[in-house]
Amino acid sequence: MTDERTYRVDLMTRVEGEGRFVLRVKDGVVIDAELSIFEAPRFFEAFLRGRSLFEVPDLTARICGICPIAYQMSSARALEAALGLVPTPEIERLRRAIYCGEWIESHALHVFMLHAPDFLGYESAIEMARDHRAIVERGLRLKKTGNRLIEILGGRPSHPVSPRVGGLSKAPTVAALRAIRDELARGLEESLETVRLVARFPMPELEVDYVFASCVSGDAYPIERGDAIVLSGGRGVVPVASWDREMIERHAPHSNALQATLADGTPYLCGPQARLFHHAEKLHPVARDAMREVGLPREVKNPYRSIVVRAVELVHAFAEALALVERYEVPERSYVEGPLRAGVGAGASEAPRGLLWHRYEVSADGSVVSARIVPPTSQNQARIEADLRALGPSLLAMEHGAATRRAEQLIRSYDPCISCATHFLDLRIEPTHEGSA
Amino acid sequence: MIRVVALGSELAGDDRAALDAVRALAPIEGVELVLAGRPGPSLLDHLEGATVVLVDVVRRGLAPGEIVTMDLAGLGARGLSSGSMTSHDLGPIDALRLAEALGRPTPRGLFVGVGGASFARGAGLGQGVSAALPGLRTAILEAIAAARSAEEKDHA
Repeated sequence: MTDERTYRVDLMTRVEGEGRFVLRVKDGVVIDAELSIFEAPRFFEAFLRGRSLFEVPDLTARICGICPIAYQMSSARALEAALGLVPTPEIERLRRAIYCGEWIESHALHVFMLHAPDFLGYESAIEMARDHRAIVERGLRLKKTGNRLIEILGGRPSHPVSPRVGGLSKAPTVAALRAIRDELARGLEESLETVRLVARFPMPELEVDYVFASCVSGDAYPIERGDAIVLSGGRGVVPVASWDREMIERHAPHSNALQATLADGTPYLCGPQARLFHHAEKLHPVARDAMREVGLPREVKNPYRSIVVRAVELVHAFAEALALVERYEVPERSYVEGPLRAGVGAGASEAPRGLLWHRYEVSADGSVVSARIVPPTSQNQARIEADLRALGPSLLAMEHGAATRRAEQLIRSYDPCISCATHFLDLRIEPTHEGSA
Repeated sequence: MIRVVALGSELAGDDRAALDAVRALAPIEGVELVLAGRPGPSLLDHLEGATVVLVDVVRRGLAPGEIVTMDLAGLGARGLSSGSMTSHDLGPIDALRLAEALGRPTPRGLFVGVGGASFARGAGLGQGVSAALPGLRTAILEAIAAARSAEEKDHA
């Protein structure tokens, strides 16, 4: 008798996106694993054509309510490359500080509100809050601090307005930025507690040999800047401008989003695990100590364990932000300018959930001729499907509800930026044949 | 203090209606106008420390352009879910549920919703919702007046 089971995940529709996951297992063998997502950046690639290049950071910020700074920063860097602009070190520090704010608010949201309920056995953070009020309050507090840092530097707590081509339109006063110092210091302590908390969570078993891809940013743990992109497995370092030759996007018939793989078809992983693998020694010493304390290796092969990596990066973002705030002096210029010219430029930065790559061609009058945006979720999508395929056989021995939760929990491990609706995943297992679950 | 909080996305069809309506209001003494966009859990912060007039686009349950005003605290009691009530995750109902679960005080104020029809990316406001904007602004001003009246009674 044939035993065929269909595991189906519907990503509930919100304004930002929709998607579906289908896993089909026949006689213990995975025959299909498909993650279908709607992907906003594709619309933006067409929408940006003909616009002034100076509008691009503001417009691309609207792609995502959780990581607008990542879109602003990658687009600004690509356009600066096209124009030949080089921001000063003072401007780079301002950019790093505001990007730390985004890492803090995004990682806090994911660790506490989206992913922790899976580990603690709750449908959502709302249900979890009834039994674990302190944990949820801590998450909200940390997220608020990240948003406050963004507001001070960017003018608004979400969709900030100051990031622009060349830097930030305005630098805050020393007093304005230092006002958040104590809050960041408290956040650093609480983020260390967070590492200890999530490291105790029971981890489902799954081991994957990943090809990790992450930005290289000089001697720094990569956040706001990618000088190049490094791949694991002896695959070397790729210039940012050449990433579209190393990475290939294909249209998957089941999805209206493009899926990226390496040129030879190998899926790869970007995001916290990739950054840690390539750059663990560049973490702030406090974050490195936290890694050691909980026994986290630099190569994390279990995707479920990404919650611990994300918590370590939360520590790093707080420690970096605190140091930047304490050393802050108002720069002479908050942005650099130069003459318009026709050109092509690519730029990359590390969004909280991974490598975000932009490429623009601009004309001599400063209008956008073409735009290409490759977000981290598009790059991770093929890897997510491969991991779900690897997980499939182990689900068959599990009770129906537990199996669905396990698959859903895996999808969340990658912090997919399908939209803010990710935590409203509705997962169903549908028996399709006799003998099915 | 009264705080008007508008939710929505400016690049998703009718989803921008609340933002447009609140942006068009002239400054009002003692009233803070917040274009919150899609704040997620940060919506909780906007609901604290003030009497709130929360303005959002209702995805299902209202005809395009239809306007509803109701007590903020009573939203959840109507048995509606955020998914069917609003175009945003952690919308008003979930924010109220989270606040309650955390033992925070019940937010005070009113919800003003307008029905939307199309939420396609890149689309502008649909005709039905566009025509309703003057009425939505009026509903918001009435909600502000009601909130102010309630505050004055509390202080009396």
